[in-house]
Formats: sequence, C-alpha cells, structure tokens
Amino acid sequence: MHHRTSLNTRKQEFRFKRLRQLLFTTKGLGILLLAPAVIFILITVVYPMAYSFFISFFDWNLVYSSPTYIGVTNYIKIYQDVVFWNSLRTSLVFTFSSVFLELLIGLAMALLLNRKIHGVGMLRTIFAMPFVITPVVVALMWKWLYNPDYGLIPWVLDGLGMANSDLLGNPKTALGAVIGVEVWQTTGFMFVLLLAGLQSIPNELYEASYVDGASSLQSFRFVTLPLLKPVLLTSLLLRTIDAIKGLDKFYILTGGGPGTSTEVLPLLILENAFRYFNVGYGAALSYILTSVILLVSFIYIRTLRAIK
Amino acid sequence: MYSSTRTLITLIILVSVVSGITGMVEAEKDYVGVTLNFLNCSGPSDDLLQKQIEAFEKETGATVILENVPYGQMFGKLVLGLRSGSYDVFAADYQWIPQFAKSDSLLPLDQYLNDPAIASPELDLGDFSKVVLDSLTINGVTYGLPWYANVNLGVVRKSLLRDSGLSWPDDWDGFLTVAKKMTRDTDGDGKVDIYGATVAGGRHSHLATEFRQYIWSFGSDFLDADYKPLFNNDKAVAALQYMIDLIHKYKVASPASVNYNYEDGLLAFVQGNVASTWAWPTTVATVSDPTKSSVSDDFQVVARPGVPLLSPWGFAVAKKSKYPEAAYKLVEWLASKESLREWAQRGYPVGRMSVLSDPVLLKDDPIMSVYKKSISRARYMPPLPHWEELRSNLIRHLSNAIIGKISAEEAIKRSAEAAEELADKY
Repeated sequence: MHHRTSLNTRKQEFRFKRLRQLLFTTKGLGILLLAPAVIFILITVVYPMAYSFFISFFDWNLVYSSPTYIGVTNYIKIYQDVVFWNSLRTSLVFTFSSVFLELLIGLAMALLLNRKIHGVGMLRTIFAMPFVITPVVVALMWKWLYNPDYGLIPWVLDGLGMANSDLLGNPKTALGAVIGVEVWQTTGFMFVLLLAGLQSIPNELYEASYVDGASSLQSFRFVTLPLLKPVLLTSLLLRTIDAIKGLDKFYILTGGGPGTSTEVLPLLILENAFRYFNVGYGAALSYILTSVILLVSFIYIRTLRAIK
Repeated sequence: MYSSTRTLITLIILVSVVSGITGMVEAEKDYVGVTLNFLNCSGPSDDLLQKQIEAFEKETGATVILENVPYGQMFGKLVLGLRSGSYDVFAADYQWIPQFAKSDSLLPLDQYLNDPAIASPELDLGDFSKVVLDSLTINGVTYGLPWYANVNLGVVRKSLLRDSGLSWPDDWDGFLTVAKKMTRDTDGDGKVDIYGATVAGGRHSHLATEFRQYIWSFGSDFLDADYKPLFNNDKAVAALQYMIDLIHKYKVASPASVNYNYEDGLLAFVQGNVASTWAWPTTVATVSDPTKSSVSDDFQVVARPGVPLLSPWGFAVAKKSKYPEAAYKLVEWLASKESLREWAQRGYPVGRMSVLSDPVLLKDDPIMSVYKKSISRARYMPPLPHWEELRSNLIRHLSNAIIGKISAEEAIKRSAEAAEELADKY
C-alpha cells in the first residue's frame, strides 16, 4: 500500500514537472498565448470554410428543403451557366481595369509627393482621405452625383455636349462609371503604400546612380522599380483580392444593371445564397470565386518574381 | 418617536396595500410576463403600429418588442428568424406565406379563430376582404389575418393633367395620349424638362411588378396553377414592347427609367421632373408632405389604367413562438375593426370591407374611392414557393430588353423558359 501510494505520488510529481516545463519554457508559453487566437480562427474561419465547401456538394434550399447530396452537380451547373460566365467576365474586367488605374495614378502621386515641398503633408492627407470613407457611403454619395435628374456629373456632361449623360443608366458606360468610383476611393490606399515604399529606398542609391550618369528614367527603372517590387506586389495583391470581391458599390449604384452590364460574381453569390437561399449552389459559386482569387494571386507572385 | 414610528408603520401598510392591488390588477391581465418579438416592414406609419402595440400591452400586460426593417431585409431575417424562434409575430407579404407554410414555420390560426373561448366576439371573419384573407390561406388553412391590400396606384400632377385638356384614362392607349401631352420642354432649349410618365425599368423587384400589371392589362396571364408560364405569347410581347416604347420610341418616360425603381420615380415626381408615376398607398404620404415634395399641393391620386396589382399584407404567427396564444391575440388586435380604421385614416386600403365602405371615411378622404375602384379591378398573383428565384430570373431578362440588349420576344421567351424550369424544380 505504501509502495503504491509512493508510486502514484511520484507519477503526479512527474506530470506537474512536465506541465511546468511546458508552460514556463519559451516554446510552451508561446503555444499557450497563441492558443486563444488559433482556436478563434479555427471556429470562425476554418470551420465555416470547411463546412461551406462541404455543403457545395448538396442541393439545399434553406427555406423549405433538407440538404440532398448531389456530388459535383452544382459545379457542373455553374460551368454550364451563361449568367456565371458573364458575371465572371464583368468581375475580371472591373478588377484589372480599376487596379491598373489605381496603380498608375497612385504611383504617379507617390512619385510627385515623395519630396520635401511646402504643404506636401497636407496634400498627402487629402489624397489618402477617400480611402477612409466607408464604401457604402461612397457609393451612396456617387449615386447622387451620377443621378440624371439632379446629379452634378450629368449636369457637367450635358454642358460639355455629351449625348447621353446618364452614365449609370447606359449599359455601355455603367461599368466604367463604377470603376471610376472604385478608383476614386482606393487610389489613396495604393498611394500610401507606394509612398511608404519609396521613402524606404536609401537616397544614396539615387546619388550613386546619378554619379554613374543615369537619367531620371533609368534611375526609376533600375533603382526605384526593383526596390519597390515587394511593396508593389503587396499592394497589387491586396487590391486585386479586394476588387474581385467587390460588391457594395455594385449593389448600391446599379444592382447589377442596367440589364446585366454590371452583374459581378459576388452579386450572383449574394442572390443565390441570400435571396433564393440556395446555399449549396451559393457555396459552390463562392468556392469558384476563391479559386479565381488564388489563381490570380499565384500568377501575380510568379510574374513579379520573374521580373528582374 | 412614537409618532414617527406610527407614521412609518402606516406608510409600510399603505405601500403594501397599493402593491397588492396593483399586483391583483396586473394578474387580471392575461399575458403578464409574456414577451413577444414582432418583425415589421418599416414605412412612414411605423408610429401608428407602435401606438397600437402599446395599447395592446396596456390591455394584456404583455411586452412586445417591435423591430422595423426595410422590405429588402425582411425575407432574409424571417428565413433565419422563424427557424430559430427569434420572432413570434411578423408583418407578412402574402407572397411569403406559401414558402413559410411549406417549411412548417407558420402557426395555423384556425385553432384560435374557431375557438370561442379565445377568439374575440368582435373578430367578424366575414368582414375581411375575401381576396386578402384568401391570399393568407393555403390549402384551407389560415396562416394570417389581413392588414391592408396594397394596390398599385398612380399620382399625377393636377396642373399638367388639366393643361393637357384630357381626363385621366382607364386604359393604356389613353395613357399614352395623356403622357405625350404632359411631356414638355418648359424652357425652349430643345430638351425635355418634364416627362409625362415613368417606367420602373431598373434591375429591381418593381420591374417584375410592372411586368405583371402590363401583361394582365394587355390580355395575357402570368402562371397557371402548376406555376407554368402562361405569358409566352404575343400579348405579353406587346405589353413588354409598350414599356420599352414609352422610354425609347415615344420618349414620354425619362431615359433614366432604365435604372428606376418606384422610389426613383417618386423622387422624380416630387421634384417636379415627371408628370406622373406609380406608387403604393403607403408612399403617397411622401408626395403630400411639403417638407419632402415640391408638388405637395399640385397632385392627385388616380387609379392605375388597366389591371393593377393587388399585393396583400397580413399579420402571421411563427410556429416556434413560445406564446402562441398571446401572439394570436396580438394579431387579432392589430386586425380588429378599430385598429384597421386607424390605418384607413392614414390612407391605407385596409382589408376590412366595413372600414373601406364607411361613408364617413369616404367623405373625408377622396382617395378611398380610388382605392375601392382600383381594388375592384385589381388582380393578385397566387403566391408561389419559389417567387424570389423566379422574380430574379424575370428581372434579368426584362431588364436586358428594357436597355435594348435583347428583343422583347427574346426576353419573354427566356423568362418563360426560366419559369418552366423553376416550376419543374419546385
């Protein structure tokens, strides 16, 4: 009896010692401190994503049916759906047009304002400001600006002699009008990141290049761009992912119209998952969108890494 | 000290007696301790609903938590809320009734309606508008009590109609003539300043509402009892073409109509940019409000030409309500003659015939006669379980026709194909 008690006590002591080692070493403490965040991410991100992928193989209308397993039928339907391809095309056109314009304008502004001139601080703040406005407020504001009955933009365009100044009501100009709003709001984000990138490039490199006889353009090409590559990649990636997922401006400005001229993929997902409550089909659509984002990100990274 | 002790004891006894009496009075109220959650579609008269709910609370001791949300959010909230038991009572667009009945989310009310111990003696089921009550009944089971029968109406500028020299028409040919006369260039710059008509041609649920009214007016029908399309014909094509021509051929509707919903049309009307538009009775209040409308003293409410859409609303009870009897009594209270009379005084075409026919109300409010005329010509579409999905498909094709991307024939054909596919699926 005494021997058994002594053995149990030794076992307990051993366990406590192991626990103390686990908790109070650097590694153990790190795991302990990370655990709440990891659990939170598992519950709020990993589990919903896994469940969403799971239900994409089911036919399930949340209003009045139980889930029925249908394999890859949802994905086949998507492949055969003309509406899906149209919306994907619209999303991609919107994304690449707006990101390209943001990059161009953002880089130009960053280069212009990367100098010590009077009032440059205020100018930087003004250019960055649209980005901090809530996207829904921006969309509502521009909806009023574009309004054909009392908006400022049609009034100006009418004054310039434009035939059809209702940009949002014309299927040929509606997408461009939304791109304009997106560029207005998010160029500030590009500008801030690129400016920070420019300011981290040591001045000595430019001085050395000038000493070697490089022109401004050569300096930009061989000094600025290579050193700006990491920031460029980050900015492009973040903005592209954001733009492909873009929903709020389309929802408020056009609702996907006129016709289907601004019907983007996120709107289609919203309709299927949250209006018809066909959650299986909606989940499948959202995984297609995720795949597109991953593919685009992969292409960006490979391309930019290949650029020397 | 003796005096202050006596005073204290007297005070304690007094407080106890008053509390006891209050408690007894409270105990007589039927639903003390009951809390009901009520989801409503927000509108300009939410204050009246709140007032009626407070009266119910005072009468019964129940607590009612009212949540007002825009129409666009209602269905989504109900899908999740009825499943989770978050709501006890809700304002029901009749189109939702079959969908929620199919998912067994609604409480059948017949058990209370037919129970004299529970139903109020003043209920008077026969006084309800039959078409509205029928719209809330599925396979003989009553799921809601009528609130009002939303019927699509017109608002027109009195001065412009008078200047046209014409009277308001009852058919669409007459409407085109009036619209042409009311369309004008007021400053002589060659551009139209006031359009005679509006078309809710944007990618919005209102486009489907417009479509149904036009095809009925042109002699076509929408769906049969099996939800199969009945509009794949020349009459429906002519109806859709008429809508398109108002904008592009006759130019009596603003080109901006390709993006309009009813709210946009109403906004253009109150700003004086269009001579007529379509509205629901609940939104007419905006036109008459001088703080919101520049034409508040220059408009009249008119019956929509042809066949207007009737869109009934009622009050329904969730199956998962913890207090079904109390929830039913709230519904009964809100659908009572007294409550609906107050709505009628606010301009709502309520679902009780005695209120609609009240000579005092008719005399005080000339709009009531427009309601009666409209309701007599109106049709409503029997609710179908997959309406949200069908409507989205219709809007996609109709909108493409409105902007000229496809022809009216092609739009009707594609819409009919979508309707056929969904009818087979559901």
